[in-house]
Amino acid sequence: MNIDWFTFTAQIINFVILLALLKRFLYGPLHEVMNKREEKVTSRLEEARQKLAAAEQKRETYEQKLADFEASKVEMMNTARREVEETKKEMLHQAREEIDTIQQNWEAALQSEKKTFIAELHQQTTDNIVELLNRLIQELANSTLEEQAINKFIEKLRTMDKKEEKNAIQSALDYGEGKMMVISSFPLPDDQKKQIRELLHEIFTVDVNCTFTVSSVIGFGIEIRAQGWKMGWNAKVYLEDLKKNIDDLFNSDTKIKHHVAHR
Amino acid sequence: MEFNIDNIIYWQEGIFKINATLLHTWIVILLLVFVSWMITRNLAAGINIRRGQAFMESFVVFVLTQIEEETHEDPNKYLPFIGTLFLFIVLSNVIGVIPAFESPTASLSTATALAACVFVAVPVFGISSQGFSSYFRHYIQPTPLMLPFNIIGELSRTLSLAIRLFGNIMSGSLIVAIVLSLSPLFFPVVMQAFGLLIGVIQAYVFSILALVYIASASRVQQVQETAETSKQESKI
Repeated sequence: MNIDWFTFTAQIINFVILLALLKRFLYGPLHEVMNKREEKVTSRLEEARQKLAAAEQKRETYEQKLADFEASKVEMMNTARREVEETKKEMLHQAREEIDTIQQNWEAALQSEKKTFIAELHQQTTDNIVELLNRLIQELANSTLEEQAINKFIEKLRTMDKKEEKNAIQSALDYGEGKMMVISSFPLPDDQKKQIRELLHEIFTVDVNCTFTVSSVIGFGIEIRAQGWKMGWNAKVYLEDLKKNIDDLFNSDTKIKHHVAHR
Repeated sequence: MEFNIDNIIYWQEGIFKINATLLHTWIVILLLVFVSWMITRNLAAGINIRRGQAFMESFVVFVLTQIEEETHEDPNKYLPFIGTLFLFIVLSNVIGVIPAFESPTASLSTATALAACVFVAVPVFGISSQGFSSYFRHYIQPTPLMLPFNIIGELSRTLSLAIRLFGNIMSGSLIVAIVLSLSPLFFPVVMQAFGLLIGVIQAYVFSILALVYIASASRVQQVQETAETSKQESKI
């Protein structure tokens, strides 16, 4: 049981060689690889930490945004509701105004149409009545009626003595050198003409130069004209009175109706 | 039966010779280097690593943890020495289980050589970390009278390292040989298995003790430095 010093020395050398070899083939490469892995893991961890921090920051940002949004949402809703309400009111008001305008326009148009129609109706009715009566008088006129008309005319001439008309015609005759036109709707018999001429001489102091004309323009009747002045009797006067009365009647009737409609 | 495997000589020329101890040491060395080369040939720095790499990394991490717990220093400095010591002793102990193979550590020359390596490594690491004068100062602490006792302590613990390893492994082989002559069936197998356990434990004990010696050499200096620093601070 002793130490072999050659073996002892050789074993020391062997151990040192083994130490060098293992350092070269085992510890060196392993250490390097482990360091690399550690660095990689550390860098990944660092990266993950940074990402986590970034994510955390983003989360906070979004949470803040969400909170802001939540806070402003109610306000926005209230504003929107208020605006909608105002718009609704405004639109309703506008619609009502438009409806009123349309209604007023329509009523005005209706009234205008009604007025026009009534006016036309009135005009036509009056014209028709007057025309009808005029034609009736003209068609029914006979010698007796014509004589009556002449008599009426003569009577009117006689009654003119006290009137201002007489003076006016008198001055017109003076101005026109006694020219006077006697217009009748029917031909006057000669004796009548003579009677009228004599009467005119009698009434007016001037020498009257009478001209007898037949014209249906004046309607049924007879009249005298001198320098723009005229006087006589015809049915047209009555017919115009009639027309005036009908007009008055229509107008009063329309006013009442209008008044009732407005009520 | 030969109890000292140094005496099994295969070749001799003068003082140079190749005996069973050296031959099996070389086998162990070749085996270790080959396995290391095979494992570290294609190392992966990623997550998907091979089993061999995983095993060796686990071993390295285990050794590093042990060193760090003991020294509280950067363990990478001590890793090659302590790791190689452990791997060599483990494989040398275990290889004896294989028939026709002898454990190189069953030789007192080998155990003494390893203890001598530790004996040299302790001051080397101590000086490298603390400096020459500050390392050797602890031999004359607390008084120069303690110098011989400190030297004797260093030598005796080195000797105890060598004898412990040699005794355990040699006795294991011896017991198996004796039991084999008495009861050739079954029982020697149990003793062989027991021998495996003892081999691993002895490797661990040897490495840890070496580590403790190296660490104590560094720690003494650290303690002294701390004490001096506190003295200076109190003066200020």
